[in-house]
Amino acid sequence: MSLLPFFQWWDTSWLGEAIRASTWAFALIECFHLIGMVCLLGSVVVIDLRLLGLGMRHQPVARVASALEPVTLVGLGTMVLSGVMLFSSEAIKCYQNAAFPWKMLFLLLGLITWFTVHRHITRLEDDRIGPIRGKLLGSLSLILWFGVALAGRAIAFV
Amino acid sequence: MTLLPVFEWIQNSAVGTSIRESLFVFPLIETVHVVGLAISVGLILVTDLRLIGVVLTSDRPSDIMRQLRAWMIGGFVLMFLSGGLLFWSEAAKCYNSTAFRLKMIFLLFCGLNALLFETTLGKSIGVWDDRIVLPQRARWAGWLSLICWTGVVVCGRWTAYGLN
Amino acid sequence: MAASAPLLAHHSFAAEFDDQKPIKVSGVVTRVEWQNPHVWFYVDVKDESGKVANWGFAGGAPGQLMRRGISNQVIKPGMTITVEGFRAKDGSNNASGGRVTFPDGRNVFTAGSEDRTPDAKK
Repeated sequence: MSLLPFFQWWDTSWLGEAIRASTWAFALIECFHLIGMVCLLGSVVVIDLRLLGLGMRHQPVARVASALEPVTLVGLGTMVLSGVMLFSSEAIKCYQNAAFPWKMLFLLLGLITWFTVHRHITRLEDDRIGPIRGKLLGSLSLILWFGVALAGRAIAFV
Repeated sequence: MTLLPVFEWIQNSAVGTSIRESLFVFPLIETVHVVGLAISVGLILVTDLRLIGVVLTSDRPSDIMRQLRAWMIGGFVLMFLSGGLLFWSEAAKCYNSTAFRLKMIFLLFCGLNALLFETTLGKSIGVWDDRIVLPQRARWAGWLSLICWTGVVVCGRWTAYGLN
Repeated sequence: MAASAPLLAHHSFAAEFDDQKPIKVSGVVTRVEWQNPHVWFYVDVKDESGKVANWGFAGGAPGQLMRRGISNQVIKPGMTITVEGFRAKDGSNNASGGRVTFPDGRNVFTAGSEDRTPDAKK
C-alpha cells in the first residue's frame, strides 16, 4: 500500500498551496514550531531530570510533572498544528526525505509513551515509582523527544 | 568607520572557511545550536513561568533556579560555543544581516535583565520568594525574560533565512 | 554584472523559488561558492538579444551533495553547463539549481532537500 496518495492530497491541498504562495507564511509558522519546541523540550527536560534524579530533587516527581504537564501540552499542540501546516506546504518533499519517516516514528512512540506510561508513572508517589522505573522512563522520554528533534533537523541535511 | 573588514577577516579565516565548506561539521554545529535551545532557553522558560506565577507556585523560585542552574549554564555554554562557531563561519553575512543584529540586541537585553535581577531582586530573593504570588518587579523580570528570549529565537530563525 | 544572493532569501524552497516558473539555461560558470548552508554557482547566460546576464543558482549543502557523489570539483569556473531549476520569487537573476548537465551529456542532481527539480513535481 503506497502512502503517496496521502502525501499528494496534503501537497495539493488549499492549505499547502496557500503557504507555498506566500513569501512569509512558512517562516512565521516555523517560528511557532520552534517556540513550541522550546516549551515541549524545556518541560520534558525538567521532568526527566527529576525522574533521572539529576535535578529538582527537592520536589516529588508528581508535583514537577503535574506543574509542567500543561506546558508540555501547549508545546505539543503548537508543534502538531504548525507541523501539519509546514507538512502540507512540502508534503512531497517529506515523502521523498529519508529522515522524515524517522521523525514521525519517534513522534508516534513519544506520544504513545507520554499519554500512557509517562502519565501513569509520574502520578505515583516517589517511593512507588522506584529508582529503576524512574530512570528508565526519564531516559526513554529524552531519547524519544530528542529523537524527534534530531530527525527533524536531519530533514534539511539528508 | 565600518567593522565589515574585521568580520570578513573572521569569515575568511582558515577555521571559518573550513566550517563553512565542511561536509558534516556545519550541520552538526547547527543541530547542537537548535536542539541546545531545549536545555538553555527551555529551562529559562520554566523559571520564568515560575516568576510570572504560572507553574510550581508552591515552590520558591530561588529553589528552582538553584537546582537547575548547573544544567542551564551547561546549556548556554553549548549555545555560545555552537553559536560562536557558526558566526565564525559566516561573520560578514551576520554583520550585514538585520535579523542577526536584532538577535544580538535581544540577547543583550536578556543578559542585562538577568544581571539586573541578580544584582537587585536576586540578592533579597530569600525574603520575598516564599509567596505564591511574587512581587511585581519579579514578575516583570519574568515577562521581560520571556519576551526577550522569544525575540532571540525568532530573530535567530529569521537570520537563517537571510544568510542563504 | 554579477548577481548576488537574494537579500531576503528564505530557507524554504517554496517561499523563495516559484515552482510555476521553471528555467533552463546554459552558459559559462563564472564563480562557485561550495559552502554551507547552500552551494551557489554563478553562470553567464546569453539571452536572445545576445546580452549576457550573470545568474546565481542555489543547490544543496556540500554534505548532501557529497552523499550523492558530487564533490566540489564537479562544477568549476570556466565550464559550460546547462542548469535547470526554478526562478526566484523576487524576480532577481537567481534560481534554484536542481540539475546541472555537462557538455558530454552527464548530469547531476544538485538540489537541496527542499528543492524540486522541474520534473520531480508529482
